[in-house]
Amino acid sequence: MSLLIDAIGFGIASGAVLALGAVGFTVQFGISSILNITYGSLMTLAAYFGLLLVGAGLSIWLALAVGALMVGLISVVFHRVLLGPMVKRGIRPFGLIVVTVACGIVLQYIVVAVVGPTAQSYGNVSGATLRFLGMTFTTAQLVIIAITASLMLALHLLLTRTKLGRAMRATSANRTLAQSCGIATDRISDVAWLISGSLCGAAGVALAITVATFDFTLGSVFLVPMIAAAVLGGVGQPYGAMLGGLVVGISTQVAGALWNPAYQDVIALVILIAMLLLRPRGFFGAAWSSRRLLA
Amino acid sequence: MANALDEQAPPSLPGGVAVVGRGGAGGSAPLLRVEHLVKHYGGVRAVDGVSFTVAAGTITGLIGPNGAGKSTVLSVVSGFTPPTGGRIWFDGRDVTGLPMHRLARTGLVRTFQLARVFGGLTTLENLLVAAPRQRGLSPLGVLGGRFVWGAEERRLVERARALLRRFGMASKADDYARTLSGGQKRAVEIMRCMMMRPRLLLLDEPMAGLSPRLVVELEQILVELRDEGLALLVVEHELETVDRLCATVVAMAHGRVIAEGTMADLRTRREVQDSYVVG
Amino acid sequence: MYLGTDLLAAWGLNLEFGVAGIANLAYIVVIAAGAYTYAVLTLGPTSGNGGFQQYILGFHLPFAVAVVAAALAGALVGVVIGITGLKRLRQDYQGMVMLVVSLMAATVVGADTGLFNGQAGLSLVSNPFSGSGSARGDWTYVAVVALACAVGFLVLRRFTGGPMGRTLRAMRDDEHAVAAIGRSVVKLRLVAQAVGGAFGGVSGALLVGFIGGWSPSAWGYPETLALLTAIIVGGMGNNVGVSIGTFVVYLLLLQGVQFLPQVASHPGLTEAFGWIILGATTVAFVWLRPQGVFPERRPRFGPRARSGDGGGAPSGPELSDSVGA
Repeated sequence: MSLLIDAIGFGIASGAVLALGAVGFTVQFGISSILNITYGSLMTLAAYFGLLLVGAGLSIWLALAVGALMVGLISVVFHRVLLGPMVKRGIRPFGLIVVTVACGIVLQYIVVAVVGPTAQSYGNVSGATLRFLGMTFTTAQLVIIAITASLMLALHLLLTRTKLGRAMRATSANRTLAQSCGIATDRISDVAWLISGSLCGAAGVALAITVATFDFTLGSVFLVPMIAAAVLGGVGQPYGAMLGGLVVGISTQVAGALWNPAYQDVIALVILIAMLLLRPRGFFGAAWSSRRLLA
Repeated sequence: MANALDEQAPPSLPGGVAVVGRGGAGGSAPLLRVEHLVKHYGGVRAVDGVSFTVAAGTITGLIGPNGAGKSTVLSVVSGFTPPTGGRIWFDGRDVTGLPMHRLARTGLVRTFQLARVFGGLTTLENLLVAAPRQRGLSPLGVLGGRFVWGAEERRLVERARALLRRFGMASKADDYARTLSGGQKRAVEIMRCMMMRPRLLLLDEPMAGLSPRLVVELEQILVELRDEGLALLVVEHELETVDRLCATVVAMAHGRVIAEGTMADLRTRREVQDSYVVG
Repeated sequence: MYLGTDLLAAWGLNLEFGVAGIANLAYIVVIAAGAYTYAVLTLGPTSGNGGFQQYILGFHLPFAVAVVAAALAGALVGVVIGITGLKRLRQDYQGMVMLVVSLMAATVVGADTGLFNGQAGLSLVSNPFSGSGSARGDWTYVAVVALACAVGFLVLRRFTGGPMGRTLRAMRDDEHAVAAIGRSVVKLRLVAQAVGGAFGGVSGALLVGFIGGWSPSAWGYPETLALLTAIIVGGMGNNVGVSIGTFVVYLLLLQGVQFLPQVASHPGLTEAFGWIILGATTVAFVWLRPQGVFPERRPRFGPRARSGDGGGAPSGPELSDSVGA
């Protein structure tokens, strides 16, 4: 029993990281209809930025913020310089995936070339352990959960309470229509990629904190459960992705505890495949335009 | 995977356009019969209990204001999407719910509102690929190579070239279809359908976006096809065209049939006028 | 030798991706299926080699039988992967599903030691021709691979050349329109994936027979990307072009970087460079020349209708949308 509760606790912590990443991923897809596989490697990049900054004497949480921002900026440039123009040239969706896969691999091996393939660590940053409702958390985990919660709240307020947020949602729902309503969709894209890229960066550093040691495959391995979370919530839907992150996080940890830890990732994949085959629009189904997904 | 690709061959048809019940306009059973067709999209009733028939060797028009459900009727009848309710008979057989590729093999063939051609294939290939029951698609044909399908291929090329000449596109035979103009793409689509020797052709706004000159040419060709025995169901916005082509016209509004008759007939009907003014 | 197995794999994937337009990012899985099938069918019973590795089956079948079985396994797995992509999802979603299938397969095989010895992989797969002195055995093996390539190329030509190839290319361009002309998209896709899978299976079997071992870590999606790069560089849909693309990508790029001087302080640096160049090449080609160096040949029939309309479109298929819709 306590094993189960512990697993739930750990699931919430890893779910928080997942949600962070999945929301960024889903916002990106929503706004530009690009399935950005490079996302995983950008997370890795953020983790290594974090390493650099911690090495320079910054606190780990400051490093998280700076790393997030840097990856956010890189994402904007990435979209502006490469992906955006490719979309405008009419490259097919699959061509774009190939490009993002390729860029992901390039980025991943640039990390190898610069830092080397050996595993890295931030040192002991997890802090004291706390017990809460029978679950055990490290201080670091709690901070990450808090960061996730506050970023999600901030995103929620941005999307619902500000003009910018409304413009983003409009662009996501129907780009052409938004454009003809006088929304500067290119600027909106930039903002969306900055936000989603920053979430990606934050998730990358947070992930590196939770896993103790990491190497250049950090992000690309994490990509699968993250996509599972995004798809679970319906790709393009930030709230769905938040929930999806928690569901995937908890279910994988619980399944790992009850069954076989080696199968942990398989659970995420099974969820993903099942969702894609049964309810490709996520559990909020109809709320999301079917045009986007179905050929 | 055996004969898989070629199963369900249509009953053997004579050369050229299949001739079915030519001249038997009165008395003989209709080629297509649609009864109480219903199609919902989510909560929207796009088509709400539509019934009509298409006789062999005639051109039937399907008109109505935007959103009346014309294109949805076409999509359901062609098997592109399954109906929510109702029945469809084609040539005396219940074909309700059959997928598009099965219906196409029975001789019920459609075009798309936005002409769909195979852009990476040449114009000639676009026609060849549509020929039904090709020996080159069976496992024996694939492994046997030209020994198996060479002669058949030569005959198909002949037929395709004849069609191209008829449509005035012989010089475009080796051009990639994606380089063609909108009107030429539509012509390719119709020729591709003809390669299949259809008995009923469903055309979704064939005149949309064509120049007045091309409209006249295409009308001419459609009339010729009808005279050869082909039945056509045409969704069309351009009422002049409908007037010139269609013996029978079905008018729809809000997912229902509101009137049926000749175009001259319909023009006098109040509900048709209203739907066009309001709709 | 490696070129041979890579060629088979690239041809198979070209049939799926270049010709039939199936976004198969899980292609490495069929190669693995072939490799494992071959391994467990030739390794002999588990107990026979000290029991240090566990796996299913464990037969001592002759080389040829095992290779054929590997082809069948590849075809079967190809079809199974194909089924997951059948839902009418957007092309990029299909790609993602397959990417996930690929990772999932690696995870399952890695996690389950009973099946194929888990993460450690299988080793000591014997080279069937090495009995009589190693060097001669190796050359025999190369000859066998060359033979397999020759047969494979003939089969491939048959598939892409005639009406079947035409229909598959039509499906690549527009699935709805293919259904509208009375062809079952489901069957066409599965046929393409079965045949492509068989190529991958043979490729995997021949590879594992030569290098002697196979483990989950050896197959990630970068491997599939390398094949895709070969296809994109060489020219989608053009078998000869793809062959040259394979030669360039594998021999010059991935093997070639090993001749760069090693930097002692940075292990794995040269390999990293190989991948970086590979990725950059892919991006550059999609950007600058999506039809590849050798575009698909334009089929012509009989006497040309008119000389002088040679201009027209410059190329065959592209990664970009030709029709605005």
